[in-house]
Amino acid sequence: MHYLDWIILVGVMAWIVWDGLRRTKGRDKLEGYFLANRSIPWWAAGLSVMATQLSAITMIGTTGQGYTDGMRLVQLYYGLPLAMVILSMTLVPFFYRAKVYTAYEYLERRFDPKTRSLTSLLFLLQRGMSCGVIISAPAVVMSLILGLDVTATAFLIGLPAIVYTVFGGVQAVTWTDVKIMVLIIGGLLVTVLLLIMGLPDQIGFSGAMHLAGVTGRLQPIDFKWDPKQTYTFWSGLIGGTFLMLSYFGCDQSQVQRYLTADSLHSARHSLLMSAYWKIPLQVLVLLVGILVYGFYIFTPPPMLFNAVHEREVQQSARAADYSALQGKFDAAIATRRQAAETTAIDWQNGAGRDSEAAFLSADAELKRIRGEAVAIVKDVSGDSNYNDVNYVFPTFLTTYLPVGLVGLMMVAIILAATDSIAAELNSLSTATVIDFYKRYWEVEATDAHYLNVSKLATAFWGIFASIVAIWASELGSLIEVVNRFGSFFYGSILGVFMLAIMWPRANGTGAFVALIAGIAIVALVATTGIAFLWLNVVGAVAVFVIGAIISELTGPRRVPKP
Amino acid sequence: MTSDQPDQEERDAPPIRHHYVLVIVVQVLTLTSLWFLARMFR
Repeated sequence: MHYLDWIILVGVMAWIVWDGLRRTKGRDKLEGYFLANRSIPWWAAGLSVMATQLSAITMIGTTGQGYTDGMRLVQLYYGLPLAMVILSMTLVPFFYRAKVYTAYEYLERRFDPKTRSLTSLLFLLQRGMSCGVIISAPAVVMSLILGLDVTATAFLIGLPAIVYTVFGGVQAVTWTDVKIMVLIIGGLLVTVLLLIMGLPDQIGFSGAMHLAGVTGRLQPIDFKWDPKQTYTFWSGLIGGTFLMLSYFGCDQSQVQRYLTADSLHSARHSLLMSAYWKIPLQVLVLLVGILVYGFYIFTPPPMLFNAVHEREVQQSARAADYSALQGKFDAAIATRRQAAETTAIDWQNGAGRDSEAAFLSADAELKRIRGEAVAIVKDVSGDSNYNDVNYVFPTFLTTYLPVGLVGLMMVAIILAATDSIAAELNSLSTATVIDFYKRYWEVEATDAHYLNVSKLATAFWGIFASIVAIWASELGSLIEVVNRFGSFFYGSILGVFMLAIMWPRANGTGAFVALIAGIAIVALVATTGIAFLWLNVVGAVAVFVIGAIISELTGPRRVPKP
Repeated sequence: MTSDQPDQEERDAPPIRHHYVLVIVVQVLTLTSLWFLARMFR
């Protein structure tokens, strides 16, 4: 990167941290530190909700997905608007009126302490580990792009988050989220514009989109009914609704964003902002990936997007094979470009679609050659899971964007990880202090005492996440187990909340036993190879049904009145 | 304590139900537009 880009990157990061801390008020009380004294306007809480969900993995992974697979992934979000409406009508008013700090606190008021502690513990376990992944996944990619050590990059991502979350609390997190969202959306829009300008004049936006369509990249809706296919209209609409209900309604990292809103009306509006804008935002991110694909049809791409692995191969015993493959790749690029031009111009002139077959064949040949190159890397590196799709977007940015804009986009990607990690640290600290420390350890203490403990808890989770991130490769299988375990209980926790609201005679024993049974059932169903989105439906329904039956058998419990 | 009763502030808040309907309408329109755009370029 050019030194000007570095100045921009460091400058923007410093400004974001400083301004986040400067805007923080009333953080000397626990409610100020964790809930911003319930003073955040709806639009800021709404942007914070969206920023927490949009991490660096979205910026580099989703654009990569758009490049290779097109629009298909957007179907994951088809249930989100419906989930937001349901939550605004049900859980949000319950949380807001109950004046809780955590979603799990509500479960003790409705059921008993053990149900609250178990759900909160599951949250801490899964989120604590995923925090490490939120840092490590982009750190690995960005370290190569920035030419830094992985540990240094992990600190570049994690340290600002730890600093402004420890000292600024939730207000710093929210106001930083707002700025980062503006930066990310602005950056993506400018990138789309530059990509369109980078296409040949006779092809333009419509020609590039047609070529993407011919290769099957424009399939935003797939009505096929196949429970084993990850992204279909049905899995997105039904499974996605349950996933989003669970994520936005039962996950403290999201619930805390809208609990900071200045009224129940604002809390609802902050969620509805996602309902209106999440799908268009995901379309924008995927469109960037699709346009990068179109751009690289007419501007030769590298055979491998991970330059470090390419150098390793060139210095290995298989350098000659790789070099021969590079010759074939260059020839195939020229053939595909020729076929693409004919296809796009024929389509624009209404001259029939006969040339599409030649373009598809050239595209398939290029894919085959790239597959051979990837196989050589796997052979040389010994990494059987090697995949360079996450390097596509950052490579494009650093190669073709003008100086200054590269720095802005790099800082946008890094800050996308930073703001997600900050929200996670803030919520992990809240659950630790409110659900465990204040509940079991120091029940009666001053606000100043709890505030100090909260800062320590935030710092602890920050250090924990950094250690997980740095040792991510060694902890690989453990992280995978925890994440897999997390997908088992996501729907199940939603089932507990459904039970709390929809089954008036449900009791603590029913909820607690059903939660454990639900997780076990989901783990069992997962072995059938069913797509993960459906696991949320299975978990929620299983917990609800089992909980209702056990509650009926063990005697009704009167619903507490205000 | 939990409460399923709206407080005074909530009762005084501007209505929000029209947003729920609007969200669903916008969602249907978004998906329809996406489907048409995808077809147009294919």
